[in-house]
Amino acid sequence: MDVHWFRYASPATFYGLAGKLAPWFGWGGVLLIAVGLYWGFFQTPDLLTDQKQYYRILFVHVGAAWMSMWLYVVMVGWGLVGLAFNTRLSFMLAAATAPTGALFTFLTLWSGAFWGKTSWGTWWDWDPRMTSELLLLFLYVGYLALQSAIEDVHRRDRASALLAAVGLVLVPVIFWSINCPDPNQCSALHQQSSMREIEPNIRIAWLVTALGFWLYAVAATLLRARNLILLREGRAQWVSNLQEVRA
Amino acid sequence: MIQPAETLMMGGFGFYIWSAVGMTLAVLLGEVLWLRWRRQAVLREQKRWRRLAKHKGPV
Repeated sequence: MDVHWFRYASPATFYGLAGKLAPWFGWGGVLLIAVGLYWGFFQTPDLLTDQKQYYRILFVHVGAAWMSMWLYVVMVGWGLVGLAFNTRLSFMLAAATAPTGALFTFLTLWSGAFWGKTSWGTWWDWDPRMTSELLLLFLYVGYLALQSAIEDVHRRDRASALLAAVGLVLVPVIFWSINCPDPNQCSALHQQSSMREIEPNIRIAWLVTALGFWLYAVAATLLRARNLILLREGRAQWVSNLQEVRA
Repeated sequence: MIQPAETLMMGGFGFYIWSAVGMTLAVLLGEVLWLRWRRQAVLREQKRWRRLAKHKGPV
């Protein structure tokens, strides 16, 4: 089969594809988030051995934390593709991913604060995991600020992609801040990952909700990319010929 | 059987749990509404530009 891999690298063709895909990802995300939360709230025990019902905060907290890191990696990936091949759409997708990544990072810190208050008795602590996650939020904000600060689109895209690529060093720091091979070398308030030991119903709810967040993030990125394409390619003839612009 | 009052109370941790879950859902919904609103604004701008270009003709 002859597949035209580069056909959708053009904003004009990607615009239509994104419009078709976004509702599928969006409604798929809504469905999975609803199922994951239902499972987490009604199919799991009220008490764990050492935790009361507040462990249910983790159904949104863990998924949001995974998304905050993963979306950053995706954003850097698109930025690097743009730097390497000078493709407009890659930069647009990187820019479209950043706000959703920043929102998930904020939600990780927000839900983590409520978790911390119930579990450790404090809203915040300068623990390695929490501090590195806060730095990730600053990186997202820095990326978005740089996007707004430079008027020239090419310079803006290249500078912000470079900033994001340098900041990528933070992602393994966040990951290893609790998954340290030798716990004696990285004492932290935040507990280590317990994904493998946890009760199966809780794991299912975590994974389904996280998958729902992922589908949601793809849908939001596609919708934002469509807006960006319209903004940046607005003077092109194909935009004037669009049904929604002619209507 | 789901008991609404017990579900809200969550064993005395309702405030913490619903604040975390509620904010998450509110932010995600807010982002979608914001994106829809932005799209309407961008489309309005494109329509305005198209009208101007049509009136003025090719430059």
